Amino acid sequence: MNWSEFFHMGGYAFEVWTCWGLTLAVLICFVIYPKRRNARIRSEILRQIHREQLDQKNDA
Amino acid sequence: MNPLKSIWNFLSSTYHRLGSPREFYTISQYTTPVFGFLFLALSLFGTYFGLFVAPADYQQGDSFRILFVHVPVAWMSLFVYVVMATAGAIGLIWRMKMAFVVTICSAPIGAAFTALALLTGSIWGKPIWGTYWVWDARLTSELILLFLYFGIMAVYYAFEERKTAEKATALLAVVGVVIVPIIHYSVEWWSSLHQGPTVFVEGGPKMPPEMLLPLAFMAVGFMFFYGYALFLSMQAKVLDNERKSRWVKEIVSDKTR
Amino acid sequence: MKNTLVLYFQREWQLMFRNTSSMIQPLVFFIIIALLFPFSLPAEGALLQKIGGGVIWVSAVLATMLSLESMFHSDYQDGTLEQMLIHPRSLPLAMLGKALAHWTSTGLVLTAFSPILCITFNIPNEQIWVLFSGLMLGTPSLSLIGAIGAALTVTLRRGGVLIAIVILPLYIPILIFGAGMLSQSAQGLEVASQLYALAAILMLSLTLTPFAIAGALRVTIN
Repeated sequence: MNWSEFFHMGGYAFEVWTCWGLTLAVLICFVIYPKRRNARIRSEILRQIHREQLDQKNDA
Repeated sequence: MNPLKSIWNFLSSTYHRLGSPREFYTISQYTTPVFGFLFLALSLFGTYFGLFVAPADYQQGDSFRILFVHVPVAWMSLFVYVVMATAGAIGLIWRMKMAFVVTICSAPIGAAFTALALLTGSIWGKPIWGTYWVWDARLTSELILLFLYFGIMAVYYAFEERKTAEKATALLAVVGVVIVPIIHYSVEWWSSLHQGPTVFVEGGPKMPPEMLLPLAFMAVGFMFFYGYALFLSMQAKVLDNERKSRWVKEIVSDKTR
Repeated sequence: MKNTLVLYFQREWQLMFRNTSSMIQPLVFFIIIALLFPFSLPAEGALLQKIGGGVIWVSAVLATMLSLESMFHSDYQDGTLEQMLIHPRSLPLAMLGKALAHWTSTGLVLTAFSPILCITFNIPNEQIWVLFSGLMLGTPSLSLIGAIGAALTVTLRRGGVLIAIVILPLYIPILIFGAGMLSQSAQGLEVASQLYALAAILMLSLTLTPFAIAGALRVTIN
């Protein structure tokens, strides 16, 4: 079996590859989005901690 | 010691440990990559067998290879709903914080699986049935399921106070679970264009093993993907919810974790 | 001391007769929606006869849904709902009484007027009875299930759209059986199984939804 035949999918290339591609795209989104959200929240919390430390120094 | 009792003790201690956001966060740091790895391994196996090894169907040609994403995704759309509603019920009955997080974080994943099942199904339907959409029982009930997911998400974002929103969402998920058996048995209730069940029927699956094997790999793989994506989004949610607490500050400022 | 169910049913009735517009509005809405369809379709008697049952069912669903928003609203505003929550009387029973009273002011009135609409759609007499019995069995479930959505959104300022999003998917099985009954009887087939299905849904709603309504109120009202 050669590759062009494989990608041709017996004439159903559009249907098969759209379905697999769509699924893959959605799965990737559900990995990337929470990871980025996690990183964003972590940086927000870090900034908050720094602010609190600065406040404590100023008070002292 | 009685083995049953020790198993029970182990289960109840894990349940109680997972019930605390902090314990969940520490445990999930180890389990989440394992889920991701299992998903990757199983789905790569399934893809290889499904796209390269399985022979073309004698009726549908190569277009049947959509089955290996369509069917697992459609199964998962129901499975996620059941998990979501069960977690909602646990949260409402035993006031468990983490159960609500499971419900809230499952909803978008379930909605995405449902939308994918509908999309891949209609793209597959075009060459086989000659139309993108037919108003048959299973398609229609999958569409209802999608709207149920949307309703559940809309309720969560409508409330300003998080605790009220969590409980309202869980309640709606439990109420909507009535629809899940209707979806499951709809194939028998209404006769339709859609092909009948071929895997879970009496006398074993009506599918050749070289098709069944990749399908099983993909189905189990998608289940691990759900666990992976759920834990990832639960971790972010827990950090967000508990950002004022001490343990979160400790974890965040500790660069090694 | 009177039974909680009877007490709340009677209370709702008294309130309803003090404010009759709450009874008339859904009915007018129902008739207007149903009569919009002939204007938007080709003027063919056969077509109207074919779709009439479905149109009437959709109008009934929309009219019920529109009346849901005000179901708990005045009780929430004047603090009656909070009193109900802390009162020792059974909350689910009270909610059952309230939902049934709501049905008598919307679903029952709509059902009573549906034969007149059927005549404007040229629906034959024997099918009018099919539609009538279907609405009679189906509309109480609409009120009962809808009350869950009304209870969930009572504290929200703009709950109307949310009720529609939450409740309409849950209405679809009732709509399928109710409207499906009519198309079956138009082909001369038996409609008993659909009637049984509607009755089963009604029994489930009667027994389960009061607890869900009470739970929803306890969740949203602190």
